[in-house]
Amino acid sequence: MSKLKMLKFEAAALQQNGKSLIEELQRLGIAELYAIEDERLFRSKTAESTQIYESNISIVAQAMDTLSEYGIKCSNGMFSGRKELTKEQYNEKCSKINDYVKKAYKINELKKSIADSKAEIVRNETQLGSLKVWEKLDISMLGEATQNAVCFIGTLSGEYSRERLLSEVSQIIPEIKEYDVEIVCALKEITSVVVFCHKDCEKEVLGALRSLGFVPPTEASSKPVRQRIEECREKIRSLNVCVEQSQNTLRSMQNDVECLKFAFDYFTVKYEEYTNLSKAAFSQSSVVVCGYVPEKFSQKLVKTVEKCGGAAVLTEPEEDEDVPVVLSNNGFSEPVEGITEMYALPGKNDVDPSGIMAFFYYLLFGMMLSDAGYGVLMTIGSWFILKKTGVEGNMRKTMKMFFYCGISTTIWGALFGSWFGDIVQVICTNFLGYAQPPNIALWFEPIKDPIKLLLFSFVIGICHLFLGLVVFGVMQWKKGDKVSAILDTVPIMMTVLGAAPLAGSILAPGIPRIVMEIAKYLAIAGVVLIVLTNSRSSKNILARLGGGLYGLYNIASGYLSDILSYSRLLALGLATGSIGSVINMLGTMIQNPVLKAILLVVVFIVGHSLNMAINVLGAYVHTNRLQFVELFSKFYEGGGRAFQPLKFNTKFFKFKEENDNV
Amino acid sequence: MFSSGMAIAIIGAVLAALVAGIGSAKGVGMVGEAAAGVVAEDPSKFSKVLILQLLPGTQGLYGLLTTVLVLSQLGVLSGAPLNLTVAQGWAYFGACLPIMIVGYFSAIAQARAAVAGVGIVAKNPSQNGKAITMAAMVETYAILALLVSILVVNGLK
Repeated sequence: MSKLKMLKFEAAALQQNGKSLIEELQRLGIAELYAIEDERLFRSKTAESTQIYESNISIVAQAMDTLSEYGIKCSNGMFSGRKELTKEQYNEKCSKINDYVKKAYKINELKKSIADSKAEIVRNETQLGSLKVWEKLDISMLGEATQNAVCFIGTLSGEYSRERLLSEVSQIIPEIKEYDVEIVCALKEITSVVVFCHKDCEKEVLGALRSLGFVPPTEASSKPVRQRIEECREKIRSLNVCVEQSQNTLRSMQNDVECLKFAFDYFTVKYEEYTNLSKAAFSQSSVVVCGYVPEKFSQKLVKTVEKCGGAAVLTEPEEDEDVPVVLSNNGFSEPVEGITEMYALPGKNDVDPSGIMAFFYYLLFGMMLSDAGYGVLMTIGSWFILKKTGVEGNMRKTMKMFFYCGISTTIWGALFGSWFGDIVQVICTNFLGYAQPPNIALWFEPIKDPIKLLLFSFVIGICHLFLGLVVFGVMQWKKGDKVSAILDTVPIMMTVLGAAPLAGSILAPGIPRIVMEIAKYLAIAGVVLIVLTNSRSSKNILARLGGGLYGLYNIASGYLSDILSYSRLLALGLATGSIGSVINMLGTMIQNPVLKAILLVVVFIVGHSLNMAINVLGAYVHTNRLQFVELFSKFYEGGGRAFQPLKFNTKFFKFKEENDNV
Repeated sequence: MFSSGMAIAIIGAVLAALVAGIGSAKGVGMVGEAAAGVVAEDPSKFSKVLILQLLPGTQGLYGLLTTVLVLSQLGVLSGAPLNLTVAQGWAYFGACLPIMIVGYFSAIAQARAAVAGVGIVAKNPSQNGKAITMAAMVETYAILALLVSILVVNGLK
């Protein structure tokens, strides 16, 4: 029901056993090591090995990414756990680890070759595009000269006809006549031309063309253009085949996923082993490792160390040490450990709040969702996931939490008569001929008497807050501060208990006179006690009174807003039920009974799925808020560091001999 | 067929869903834009940012809830509308104001907090619980407003 007690251990063994000691500890999975700083001892340099493992991990991860791009699933499903391996299977796979890495390399190479081929295809396509305008050219693109004539081949930007080009050229060089042009291809953006002229006027003609923006082709070659185009197309075709082949190879690698997964886990384990090996310290002939271990596993640790031919000493950690925290709770409170972790792990002076809040967590969640239909679905759904899938770790805790929350929701829903909104009433009046909707609430329907539920929510809230106060009192008492344990809790409770009926009578008159009288004196007594004792540390009587009044103001405003905050129990509960009823109403808007039934089924399924999703989220978020802000603020600080034992920290496989201890 | 008091009450009821709905739509849209950026980088964070995106959506639901409560109490839904005086009509209108106005502004304020929360998820996905809690703090005031609206509507019965 709390944090596990941690011990510190120091273990020593012969130097040659260092690696096997770390391996055994990893297999055990119960100890967190820390690096030893001592100048008399030296640390082994494992940077090189860890780097190799790290790069292998990233190669394998990259290969898995590639495969998932080609539609092969490489990740675990949300609810599926790790696959179990026996020792023989493990050893067999270990011996093949090099093949597995080769497979990863092969996948990465295929991916690279696909990328390269694709780039090559793009290059060829660009070339093809630029050659297109030369397709009709039947001479070499180099524009070879004859004895008396030269030939310029190139492009002009814009669309030119032969006449236009001739006239523009003659405008620039009117005195020269010995040239001719031929348009090879005229497109809107570009025109390819061949220009012949006499050798004597080569310069002038070229100058005139240049001034029109004439550019010779960038990729001239003596090969005929048609042949080059054909070659390009052939190349693209063969590259496409290559890409297709590589992609098919990748798509067919379904069976290699297991190898990659194993390699990923294997290298992760090795990486952690070597990282931890670097935390150990060596002397000439011995090795020392230090760390933390939960007390209940400490004997196991000692035995393991002895098995490796060493010895271990267990000590209590020092007061100011940064001891890691691991929570351990019974089946009922364990599921909400995740909620505690979300806020912060308990610090040095904290108790584990999981056990304290578990009951209220389920209670408040149920009140906020408060629909028996949704509750039953949640209970069955989470039960199914827990039983039928191998879900592990935090997801398992969350599912268990939803299981209990579902039960609570069902109970509250039945009390308030809400089953999928008011579906029972709707069916009774619409299809079964009831004149009045039947009242199926075991207690009462909130929509008919919201004030009653509001007051009840405040009562629940006061109980929740008092629980926090009591925990605070007990903690102070145990710490030895008995004065604080009484004076910082009892007067507040007196004031709240006294003020509650007085305020409640505004909303619900009819509280017996005698209760009101007692409440009045209780509240006055509480207020006086708070004023007198709240700042008891100051010596000055006036400062003490002033501080007391200030404290009273803080406590009163704080508790008022805390209690009012529980009105969300009513608001969210009403929201679920009312929106559910609106959905059912939408489903029964047609008169024809057959069509009505069909419409109702469709609207029911779609509408209630949405409503349930939104309200489960709402109930979850606001239950967390009530725990974190209203309850935890009374006694909890947090700030602990999570215990991260050296273990087989795998993602896909579970090794049989590994312990499920922590 | 309707009294003018009824008309005022219906306008109030409709505005509750309308204004709060606009606020939620804006809010959910804002967070959605931020969330899309994160998902583009890392699709596995989708479920985490989706929760953040949904948070400012509740104000619209609270508006709808108030509308339905008022309409059902007025007999509009059952087809037998009450005969309200103008003063009664204004009373219903007033009852709708808290969730209408607070709903609108809190949805947008909550969306801002949620957008910042999306930033948390982008950098440190394990801390998304804290991002959710921070955004949920804003919702308290929408809930209080809803509560006031419900209490007043209930008191007018």
